[in-house]
Amino acid sequence: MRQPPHTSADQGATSPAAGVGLYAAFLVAGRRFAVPAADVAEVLRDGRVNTVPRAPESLAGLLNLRGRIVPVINLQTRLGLTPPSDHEGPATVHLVLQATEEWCSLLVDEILDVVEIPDSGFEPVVAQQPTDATDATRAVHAGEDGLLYLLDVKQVLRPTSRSRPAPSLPSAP
Amino acid sequence: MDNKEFVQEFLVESSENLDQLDRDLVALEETPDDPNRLASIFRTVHTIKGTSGFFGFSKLGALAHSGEHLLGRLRDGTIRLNEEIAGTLLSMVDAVRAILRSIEETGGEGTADFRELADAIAAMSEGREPAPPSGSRPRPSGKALVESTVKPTEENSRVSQQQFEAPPSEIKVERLSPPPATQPEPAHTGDTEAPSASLELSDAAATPPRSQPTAAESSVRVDVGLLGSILDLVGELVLARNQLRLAAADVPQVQDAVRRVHAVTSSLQETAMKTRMQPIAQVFSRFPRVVRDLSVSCGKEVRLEIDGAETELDRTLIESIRDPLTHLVRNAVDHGIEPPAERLKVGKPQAGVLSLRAFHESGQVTVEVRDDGRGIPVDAIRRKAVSRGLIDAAAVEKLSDEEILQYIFEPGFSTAAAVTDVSGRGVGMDVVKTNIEAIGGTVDVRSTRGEGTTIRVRIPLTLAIIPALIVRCGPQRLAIPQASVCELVPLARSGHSGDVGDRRGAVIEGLETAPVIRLRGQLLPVVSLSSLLGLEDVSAIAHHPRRGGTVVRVRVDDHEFGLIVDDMQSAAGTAEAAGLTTIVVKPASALVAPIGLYAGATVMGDGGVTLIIDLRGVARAADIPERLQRARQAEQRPSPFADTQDEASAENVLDPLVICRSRHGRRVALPARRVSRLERFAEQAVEQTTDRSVVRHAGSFLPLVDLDDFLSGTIRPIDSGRVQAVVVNTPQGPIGLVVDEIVDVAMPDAPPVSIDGIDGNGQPTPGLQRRRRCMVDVAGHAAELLEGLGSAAESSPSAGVASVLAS
Repeated sequence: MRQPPHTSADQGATSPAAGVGLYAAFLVAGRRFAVPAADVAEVLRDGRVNTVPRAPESLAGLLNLRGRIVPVINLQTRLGLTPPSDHEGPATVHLVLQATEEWCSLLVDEILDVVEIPDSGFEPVVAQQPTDATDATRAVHAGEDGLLYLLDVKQVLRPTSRSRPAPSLPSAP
Repeated sequence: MDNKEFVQEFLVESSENLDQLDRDLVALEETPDDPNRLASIFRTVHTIKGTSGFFGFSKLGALAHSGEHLLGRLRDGTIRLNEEIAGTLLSMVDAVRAILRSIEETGGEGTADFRELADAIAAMSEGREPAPPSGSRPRPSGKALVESTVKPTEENSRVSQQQFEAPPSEIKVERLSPPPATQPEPAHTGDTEAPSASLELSDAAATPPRSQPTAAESSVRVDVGLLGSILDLVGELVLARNQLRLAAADVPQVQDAVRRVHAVTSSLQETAMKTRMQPIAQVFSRFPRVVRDLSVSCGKEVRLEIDGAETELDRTLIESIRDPLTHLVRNAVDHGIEPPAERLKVGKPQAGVLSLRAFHESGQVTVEVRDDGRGIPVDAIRRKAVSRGLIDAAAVEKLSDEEILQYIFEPGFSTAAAVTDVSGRGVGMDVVKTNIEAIGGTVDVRSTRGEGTTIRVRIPLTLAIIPALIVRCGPQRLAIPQASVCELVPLARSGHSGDVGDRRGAVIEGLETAPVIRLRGQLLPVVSLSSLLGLEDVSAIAHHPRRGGTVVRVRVDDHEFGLIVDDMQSAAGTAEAAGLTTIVVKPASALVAPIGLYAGATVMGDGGVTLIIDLRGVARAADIPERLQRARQAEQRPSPFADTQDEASAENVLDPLVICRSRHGRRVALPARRVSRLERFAEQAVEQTTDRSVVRHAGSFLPLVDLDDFLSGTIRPIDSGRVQAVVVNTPQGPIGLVVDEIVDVAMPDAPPVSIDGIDGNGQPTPGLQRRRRCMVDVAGHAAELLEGLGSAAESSPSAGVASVLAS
């Protein structure tokens, strides 16, 4: 189902035929995920992330994007994914999204491609047991290269209910 | 009350509305059946009518009323717009404009008579042909027929009053909400014309040239979003400037230009900030009417006093406090102030006083809503809190009235006996509190039974650009809003032996989880920011009490505490004093807010993101309010020394002492809070005058007095060369007391015992009469405590020292 002609986000911005959506695919901990291509603001390969003490682990920190302060989500932690054994280092590519009012950056391993998927090409994610990953996934597309999960960015930005809460503050006597 | 400002606002708004009317009427001629446009025109005329009735401009009101009537017929389709009607309506707009101009220039409506025009409009409303030819511009026609103008005027103003009252909320919206709310209609109709862009143009075209600029010409309404983006851009410019200064530091050729850029950027930032500031009168202006309507419907007499309406506040905040303040005002009238009969019974004047006061206070704006009514029934709140299960009956008795009052901020909490239209549904104070806290403000309530209630709302001056202290905690750089910072206290650092200066700072003491420092005889609870942020272990402070660093003493609400930070930092690349810098506050992120420790974030000169500490959140997280409350309770217990000690020496119990040995071998303790520094002076630094020794210090002379001489009340030049001095502060200025050596800085382990007027040998010494001398057993050695340095300097010959300082 991969569409080779669409290789850049620019082309992705042109409106495809009705009933067909353009999606930016990327890799996180060996899994393939996607977000609507129109939501992608830019891709950054070297961003200086300032950590936020006491923040949940999934919030890697804050990024200064030309004066705009953008939260950086460690997607692997946020989704509670276990990387495969041959997985290389922490994710460093910033996929900056403007999906919601507040911009955000997802730390991903690798940007794959922009793919065209008909609306009918998605199937619901049926979870045996709901996890952070299934909560934040809207649908799954079974493509030739394997499964492609469509992320629900709004849900990703919501505080997690399942993963560990922020470390508790030191308690007074 | 002075209406001038409100009239001015009315003029500006009306002037814009009239220009809009001109455009709409012209456009309506093209599409006579456009209901949206007709509705918009109708609303505008209605607004002018309503407001003019409010200010008592009867002629204007009558004219607008006739226009409104005609428009009403047009709107419900009884008659159809034609050129003639449009012309007449435009004449009416001109007439309204003429009256407004007269109001602006003279304060009165002028002598021009628009009866002819009103007749023409009335005739058209009836579907008749008007008697005089239409389209003729009204001109002042000399003597008016008083009877015929007055009569319809009265009737009209009565009508407008009725309409005013029928749907009050609707009217209020129309009259008081800012133009963005009243003018979006053209946009909804799909009209591509940008109203704000063409505003100045059509203003110039539609009105004849005048010699004096009118209110509308000297001010322009700008979209708030646009101002916001200007501010954002200025913020980025500041950032770029900081980077430029850093990069250009080694390039002398561009220094001048860089300096200019710096100066211009700074004033640009300031100006941009000012564009967002608006007087709080914008909110207050609606209250006279709110209070009037309310007191009528509640059957009460209320006199409203407004003070400080000119206090300026960030416009975004003005919008946010509108509703909470309205709620507080409604509460005060409905619940606070008693009916006249009840007031008279308790000996109060019949009319209640509701006072609204706004003022600046340490970087914040305080708005006070005070009534002289019956006060909040604390017992009813107590009962209600128990009955609602918020607290158990035993615990509630222990709470003070002040603490009980806090329950009114609980959701759904209302003690009102009757649910009235106005308030008493129990949705109120919690919403007020939530709304105010959402913008970083606070609400507190004070109430005395039978005397009234005061509610204080504290609001930050602005959310956009604030001065802040940049501190470092381990690897983190953090900003502390300066408005809350009271002082910086250096912490003692254990240094190598003999390096006495290092020990002069405060020492962290107390329990591991409740550390304190002693500051001027008071215990100040401190919080290690590093451990609070999880950057180091909680017990780290306890293990390194003399670790150096700084305590930032802050004040939040009514709580004072200290934040331990590693050091101050200057914003990278700027020449501002280390630590203090102006930051552009940006929302950190919806993900950061729930952590509860950060108020926002800012971008620093080097491009890094710095989090802004939410001191209220920090206080909560560190349990400060509770710790302080426990401390206060402990204070109320009788002190074991209370009987024998006067206040000053009781303070000494907590005061660290600098213990030194005089050159005659006496041990003398000086209260550390009097000591400004310990210093050694080289022989050549000491200068001898006729009868005393001085050293030059920071452009003035520091008198040097031998400690033994000082104690015995004589003054002689210092004989030896190199001296160790303890520089103490007296009301007359600093004095260097020459000692043999500094023995220790220590806490007294027993309270000092007063032996006033008796010297070491038990003999009264005249020179010591005004000093308080005590024997202090510090760490096992007795020392004399030298207090009252100021009075000593006054009464003893060392008064001469003061004259040296003065010269």
